[in-house]
Amino acid sequence: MDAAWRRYGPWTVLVLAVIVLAFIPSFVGRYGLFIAYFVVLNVALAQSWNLVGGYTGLISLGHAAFFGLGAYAAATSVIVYKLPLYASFLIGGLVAALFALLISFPIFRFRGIYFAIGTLVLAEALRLWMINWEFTGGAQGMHFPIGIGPGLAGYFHIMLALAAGSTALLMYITRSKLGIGLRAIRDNESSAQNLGVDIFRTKLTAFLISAFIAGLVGAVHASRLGAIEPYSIFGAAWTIGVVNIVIIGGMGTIFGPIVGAVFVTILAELTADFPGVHLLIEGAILILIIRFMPYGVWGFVLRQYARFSLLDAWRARAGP
Amino acid sequence: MSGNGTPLLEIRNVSKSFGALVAVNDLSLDVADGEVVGIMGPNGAGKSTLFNLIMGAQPLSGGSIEFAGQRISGLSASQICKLGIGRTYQIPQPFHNMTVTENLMVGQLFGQNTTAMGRARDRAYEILEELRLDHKAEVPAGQLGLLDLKRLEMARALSTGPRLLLLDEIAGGLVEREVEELERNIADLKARGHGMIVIEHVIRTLFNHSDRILVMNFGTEVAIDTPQRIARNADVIDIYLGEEAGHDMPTGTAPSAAPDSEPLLKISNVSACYGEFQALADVSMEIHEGEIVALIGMNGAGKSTLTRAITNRIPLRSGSVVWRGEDLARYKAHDIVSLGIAQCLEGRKIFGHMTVQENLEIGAYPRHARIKRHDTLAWIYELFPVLKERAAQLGGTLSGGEQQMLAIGRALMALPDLVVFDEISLGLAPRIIDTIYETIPVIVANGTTVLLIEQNVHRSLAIADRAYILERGSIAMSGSSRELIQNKEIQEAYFGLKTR
Repeated sequence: MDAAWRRYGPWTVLVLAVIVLAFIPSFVGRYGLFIAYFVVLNVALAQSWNLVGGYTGLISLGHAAFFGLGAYAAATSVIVYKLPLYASFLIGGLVAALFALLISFPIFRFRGIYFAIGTLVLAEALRLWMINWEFTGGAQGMHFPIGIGPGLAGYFHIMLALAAGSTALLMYITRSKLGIGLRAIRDNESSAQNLGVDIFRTKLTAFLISAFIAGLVGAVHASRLGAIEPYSIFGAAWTIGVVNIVIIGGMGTIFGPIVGAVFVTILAELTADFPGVHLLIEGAILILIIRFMPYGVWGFVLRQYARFSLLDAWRARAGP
Repeated sequence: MSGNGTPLLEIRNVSKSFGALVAVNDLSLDVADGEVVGIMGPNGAGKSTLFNLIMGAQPLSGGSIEFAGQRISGLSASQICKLGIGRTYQIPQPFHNMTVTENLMVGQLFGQNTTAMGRARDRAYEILEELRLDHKAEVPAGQLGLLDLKRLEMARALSTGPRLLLLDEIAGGLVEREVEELERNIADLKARGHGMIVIEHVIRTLFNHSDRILVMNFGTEVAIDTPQRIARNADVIDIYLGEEAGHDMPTGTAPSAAPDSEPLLKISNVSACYGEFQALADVSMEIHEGEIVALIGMNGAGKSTLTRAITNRIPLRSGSVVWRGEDLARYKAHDIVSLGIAQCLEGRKIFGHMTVQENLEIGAYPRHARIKRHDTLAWIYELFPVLKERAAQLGGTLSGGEQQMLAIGRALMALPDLVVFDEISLGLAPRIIDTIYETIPVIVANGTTVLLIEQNVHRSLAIADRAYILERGSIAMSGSSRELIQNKEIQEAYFGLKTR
């Protein structure tokens, strides 16, 4: 029972959750659906960052670059090259992954805080480039043809599929050889190398998958927006939001980013009428969580659970 | 010695320099399949550097290394691992957040390049069983004690299926009984035909298990021969063994019983816990002015916790720590040093990116010490002349022994009335330990009382006036050093019956 649950339980829960959530558009109004859309968008984006930041220990602050590139690649293929919308999503993911591949050679030479700064600088440089690049409309940005796309409910379903897909992918990876290698690199790079882990290739695999998902999410979101411009689509706010979500939820856990996405998105909506206060409150909560739950909300729950089950085991052994 | 044609590992005229420092100088060594070669030499002799060079962690400055007929110098550590060399670290480097089994699965999956998760897990269990670590299989590595961490290092190296194992100070920091357990592991591996290169300071381990022993000093070969002949080699005895054999320092001359005067530091019925785990239970001890007091205990006995209790870095569950009649609970941890208690932490904790002199000057933090810092500095340089030579060098570039001297000097710069030395002999060559221990009476003569926290029973009892034996968080025994040395129980517990 226990072993079977361990093996199949999470998958069952995931499938059931997706089935239930797919009916959300029938039960909530447009505003509710809008929030639900942002929650699943954030889940997908947060999972993609979690793979690199949480499981591999590469704190990337350039996630907005992959998101933005996905958005622009999709817009370009639809608007300039007249490609079908759904193909453009895939192109968005691939272009983001290609960018990740290009920057991986220099950027993987950095460790820790230098990696974080390096990725941040690259993302900012890319944003400045996009503002000035005439081909993609410069600061004006690009407009998708009017009426393209499946409507809000459709976009919600696409994003839900991406969120579920990225969650499933992470569940699979963490149980695979790749997952073991990533966690080994996170805990101790030189030990991992001595045990035969090819550091560069393993990091790169995670980085490419992460960038691909972020690009895909960016592409879908861009077409839903209809109009994109570099200031917001490449804005560091995407990166910071995603890092917030993963830290609040719990880095290096599967369920953490989901908890974080729900929490942060809904909190942002509740405080949206007070734009200044919203950041204050979010900041305060982040500080409190880091202080009292250094492993995030979900990490905290897991640890409490582990403690109690250990206690139970101990009681059972010491029992009458 | 098994010499069947071409050697498994061929090290040819290898050199490595870091700037002006030559760590390994024109060294050659052959290791046959299934052979066990021991490496010994003082700290800074270049032993660990040699391992780094074999594993490709650092590029060679000259020479070449071949393994199983293939040149491996220039390959990455992961490629070298896959060819069949496994390595352990002197200071265990586990994957803290992964379970013991998962730690081994890394080596299984990547080192042997398979994707069979189930088989990797089964094989990991087998290795853990062989090394008697199977009862910890599902424990996160971050929660292991030192002996288990050392075993995990070996188990993990084995998980890659190596033909040659590089074991770096596997016995370092362990007490006698634990060393014996690890020796049994080494003997098992040898019996199963594993070739090994073993770096050790625990000489008995080397002599019992090596086919040949390489003695290094200043990066070069001093001698390479069978253990029997190494033991009689005059050069070797001179640089290394001579100090270990028959060099017992005289015991302290101060009165052997605790003096009647008001103690400098009085610890009364102290208990302390980490969560549910009680680390100290009802510990009482006294230290009087001008004494050398030793606190002896194995890993996990609570020695470090007691240091933390003295310096107010953990809350006490009960009891008190009184300094010159004042309860220390009233003070903040950073005020303690100004009161006159300095400590030299286990693991040295040198500021690696600051020069030796800067490291020392930082120690003169309390006001009264800051005023006299030039005089104190001169005194420290007199105490450890090598520090003066290296005054402008970065702390991180010093050898282990020199770093330990620097840590001691830094603690003394605060002009403390009491200095706590936490495991200052850990991982050092006997000769360096001698040098350091010889300074302790000088320090006391200069007006500083010394609390010596040690695993090294011989050394500490030889120098201390009185000692306390800490076992599982309680004082098991106390008395004058002379009484304790005679004590049968201590001989059994710490010398493993076989006294020197």
